[in-house]
Amino acid sequence: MNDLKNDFEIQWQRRKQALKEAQNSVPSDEVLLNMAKTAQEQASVAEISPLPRRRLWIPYAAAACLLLGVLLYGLHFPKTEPNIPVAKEKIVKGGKIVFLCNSGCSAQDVIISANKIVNQ
Amino acid sequence: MLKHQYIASKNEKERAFNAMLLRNKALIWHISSDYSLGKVWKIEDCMQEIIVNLWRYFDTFEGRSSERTWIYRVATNTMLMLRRKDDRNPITEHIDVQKEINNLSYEAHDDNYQLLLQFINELSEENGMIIRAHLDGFSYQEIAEMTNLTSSAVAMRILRSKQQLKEMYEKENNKIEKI
Repeated sequence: MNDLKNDFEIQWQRRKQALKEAQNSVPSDEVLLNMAKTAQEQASVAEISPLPRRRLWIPYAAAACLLLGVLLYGLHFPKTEPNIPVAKEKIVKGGKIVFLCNSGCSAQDVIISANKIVNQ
Repeated sequence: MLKHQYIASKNEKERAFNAMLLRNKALIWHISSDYSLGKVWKIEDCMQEIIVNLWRYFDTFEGRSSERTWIYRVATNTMLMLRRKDDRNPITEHIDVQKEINNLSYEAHDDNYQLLLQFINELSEENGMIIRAHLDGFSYQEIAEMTNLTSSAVAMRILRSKQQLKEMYEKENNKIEKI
């Protein structure tokens, strides 16, 4: 176990020397200056022709997709909360039962919910 | 600004930039080679990317931190960006099995050091950056400037990460010994 700990420290110290060792393998000044020149040229090309802004369309496309999604959703599911009638029984004098429900529900909905209440 | 003034200041800026690069070339080379992107990106390509970003942000360098710290920060961020790009678009390549076996046997001579580097790579992005900067000789204060943490938080992270690395290292070596 001690050997392992020592070995870890050895490798740790070795890694600490890596930056110094990099001095030996670094490319020549000429190569480096060429890289700098390329970078500067790239930047000046970008300065001269700022267009096309490559990714400017992305937010517009995202907004359009979102709008389209909302529209499609609205068309496909026009009523997010279906008009399930909350039928309430109301006993009227004379033995008749009148079912009241939310506006917009169909006769079939009324019958279904009335049946439910009667079955209860 | 008149055209000749603009050209003069541009030339001056380029000269200052080139001098800065030459002063820190070993640091830039070291960071380019340290992030193990060699399989996908050549070290020279990484270096080029770093230099492009250094030039892009050269005007924003205000001298509040040391030149070396600023370069380290820009270079590290560039490497992390490249790595994220690679993670998103992994490149598959044909593997020459025999070559891989040869590489493995070659690496076996040096595997404990490689193991440590591999574990450093496996740390989280921020902890990896902190531990690398520490190993590259930056002070707690300098690392704090790079990461927007306090010096004491940096010290704590280094301590914990080193402990974590040590445990990973010992665990792996124990596993190998058992085999």
